[in-house]
Amino acid sequence: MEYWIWLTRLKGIGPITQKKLLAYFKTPDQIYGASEDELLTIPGIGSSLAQSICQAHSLDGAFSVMDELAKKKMKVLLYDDPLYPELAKAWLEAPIVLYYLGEIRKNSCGIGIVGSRRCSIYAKQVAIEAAEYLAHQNISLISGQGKGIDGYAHTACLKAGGYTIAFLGNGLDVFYPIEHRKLQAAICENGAVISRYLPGTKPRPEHFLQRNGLISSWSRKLLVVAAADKSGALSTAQFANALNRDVLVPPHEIYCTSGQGTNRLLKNGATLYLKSEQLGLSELMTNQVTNTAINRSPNLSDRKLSADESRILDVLADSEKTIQQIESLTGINQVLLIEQLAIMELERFVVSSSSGRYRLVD
Amino acid sequence: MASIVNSFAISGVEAYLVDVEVKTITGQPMISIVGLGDTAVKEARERVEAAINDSKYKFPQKKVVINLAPSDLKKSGSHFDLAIAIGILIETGQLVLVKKEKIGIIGELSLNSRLRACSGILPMVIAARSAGVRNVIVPQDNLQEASLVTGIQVYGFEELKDVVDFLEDKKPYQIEVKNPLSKDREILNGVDFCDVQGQDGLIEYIVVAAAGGHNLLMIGSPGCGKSMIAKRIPTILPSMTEEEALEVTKIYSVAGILKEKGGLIEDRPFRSPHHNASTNALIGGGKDATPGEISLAHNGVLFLDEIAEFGKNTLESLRQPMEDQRVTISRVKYTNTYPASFMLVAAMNPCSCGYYGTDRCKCTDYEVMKYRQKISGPIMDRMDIQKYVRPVDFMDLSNDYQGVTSESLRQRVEAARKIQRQRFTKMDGINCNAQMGNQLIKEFCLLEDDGRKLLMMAYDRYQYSARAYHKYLKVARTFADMEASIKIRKKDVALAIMARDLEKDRAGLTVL
Repeated sequence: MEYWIWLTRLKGIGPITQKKLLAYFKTPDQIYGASEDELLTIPGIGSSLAQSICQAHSLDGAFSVMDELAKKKMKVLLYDDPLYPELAKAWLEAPIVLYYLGEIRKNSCGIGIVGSRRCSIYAKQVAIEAAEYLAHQNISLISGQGKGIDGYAHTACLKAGGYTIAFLGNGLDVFYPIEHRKLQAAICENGAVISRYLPGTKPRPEHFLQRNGLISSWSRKLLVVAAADKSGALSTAQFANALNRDVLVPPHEIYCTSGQGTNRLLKNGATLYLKSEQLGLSELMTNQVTNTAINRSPNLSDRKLSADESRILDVLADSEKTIQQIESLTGINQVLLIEQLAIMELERFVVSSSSGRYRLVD
Repeated sequence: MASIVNSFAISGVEAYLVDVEVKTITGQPMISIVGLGDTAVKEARERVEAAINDSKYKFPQKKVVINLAPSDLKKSGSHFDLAIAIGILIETGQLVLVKKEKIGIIGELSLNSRLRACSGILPMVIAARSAGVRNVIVPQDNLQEASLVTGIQVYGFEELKDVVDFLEDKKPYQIEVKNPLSKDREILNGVDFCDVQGQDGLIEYIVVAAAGGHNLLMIGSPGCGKSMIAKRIPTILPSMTEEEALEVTKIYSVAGILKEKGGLIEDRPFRSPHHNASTNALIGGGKDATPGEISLAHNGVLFLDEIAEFGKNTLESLRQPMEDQRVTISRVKYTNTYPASFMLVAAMNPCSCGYYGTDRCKCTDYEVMKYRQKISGPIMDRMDIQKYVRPVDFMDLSNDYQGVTSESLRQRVEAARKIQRQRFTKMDGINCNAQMGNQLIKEFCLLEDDGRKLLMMAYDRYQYSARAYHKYLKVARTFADMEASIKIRKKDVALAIMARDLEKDRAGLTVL
């Protein structure tokens, strides 16, 4: 393993050249032992590069990295590891070494969900529903542990008992954003947090571009929930397009700035996303039958409704309403309404939203 | 033999009798005041000398020693001036006491021998009464405050000369106590709950908070009317008993801010410190260990607007006084205990941008949670009622909409309080439902079966914490009291379940 880490730490060589070297020499220790002349035979390696490879004949750095990884209980995923998904290797720039915490399952590629940090209630809803669907289908959810959509997707997936993988643009021991510290720990429990960066690496803008590539390459399909113009989520979508992965996009209002990027994706040929079943993977769907109905179960009690209660339900039939609106439409005073709505909410006839509006359980 | 005059010293909100002993000794002319007085007491000699000379009396050309007994207790304040001056005049034979009974003397002297008002008059006069002193002389400006104490004769004067004449019985006392002009009060405060429109549901919870003494937290976006509602809470609180009013007036007297208020404080105090307030400003402190906002809000409302912006330590420091209903402030020189039984009313935004729940808000749920965690669990726990204040769309209000007046709300509060007073007659220190401990909750908050079922459903649904269980019972108890119901009914439980919006909200957040 030390030779792999040594290879990634060479200056002037990226994943593409690394893979060229590997293709020729088969294993990194062969590269370590190669002579300058031998190296020069490989296309793309000039004399200065060959010289610097030969001069970097020390494994001290690699060993100290391994010490640190062991201390922090981080694991390493090598390019030739069977756990390294073949699908992800389609990306030319796929890193040959990945560091991770948690558990990488066999065949862990899944559905990517990305979106903006600052999002609308609507986008949040889309992300959460999609994540819950994936969790119930036992499909792994790939995202980037960023604020907003990423965070909602991971959280909702974990809450629904699913498996999720997060790709970071920083070292695994650098918590970014800091408020997702607990989330990261929870992902490690029921999924994996993966980074190509060594522990201690600070988040930098260029790292996130690489991370977006990783998200796309590990995703069979990519759901872009919301993206403004020039956003990170759009770059993930570009990667996905380049890799020929299906990009799904829910429609947004045309005036909404946080949806302009996604609407343009739609215009440019992305698949219109309308329901979570679209995220299903036919080859994975064989054993699981949908059980999303669990948290949608309609009201528990089959008791007869009082006159007031049926009036409330009538008023709510067309749209969600505030308590003041219900009051003026039914003529029932607010105190009585609160009492009725409390009971009706507990018995799942109605639900209230964070804006304080009530609507019927669908 | 030394001449002895009686005065008083303040310790916390209580006062005690002090003997001011004056003795002239042959020696270099000088004046020395002993008895652990602070700088204000030490400086009395300059004021007294000037005032005696100004009144055409003679200041003794001898060594004058003044002792404030008991001499081992620290004393502060400028109100010993008058007693010292009278003592010197008696000692030098310029004043011959005609009255034989004890007289308490309080007052600060100006350089041209006028009497100035001082703070702490009320506790001092109360101390005089309990020490068996029948007559007390105070500055004219303090007369109104002093005459709040019944069963003791108080005299107000404007000049040192008048005091001397009175003590020598040369001039009979004739200044009458002016009638306090307290009727202006209601017009000045002219706020009423009927100004708050379309919030009947919320007002019900506020009434319950007032009736049960529950602490209240209002959450809402900027400009939705949190402060407007908070300002109206004192108007629905039950009126203070005379005992309570005296307690409050005493604290204000000691804090030296009674002069502006004049007379007995009859309205429950409403204090709203800015969120920049320091811990000492809130709980009390300073070099003299003076009362802080929580004591000034005693028997009234402490309103913390933008509670999330208060310093964390400042908020935590409220915990212990909220439990004990009093606070002990210790400083190098003094250790004072002040009462601090207040209803905490707080207001905050739902998230850092302030618009959670609307499309305008782009805060992530983790950010929302982080913002709310600025208020620690123990403090949040003490907020029995946490309600959202939703902005009212005036289009939804019907035209003939009539708000409820504070007066009618107050009557309901009084009725509920009466039931609680009867319930807790035997319990010491417990006046309202909010103060019930677990033992009392078990005794008084019995649930009917369907009520219990409902509460259990809410537990499952909103993942309420087990420690909150009692909070709901207490609030439900107050809801039942509002309608004079002995049992806690299902509807009371339903309303109580809706009393903690933040906790209910927590279950809806997509966070781990």
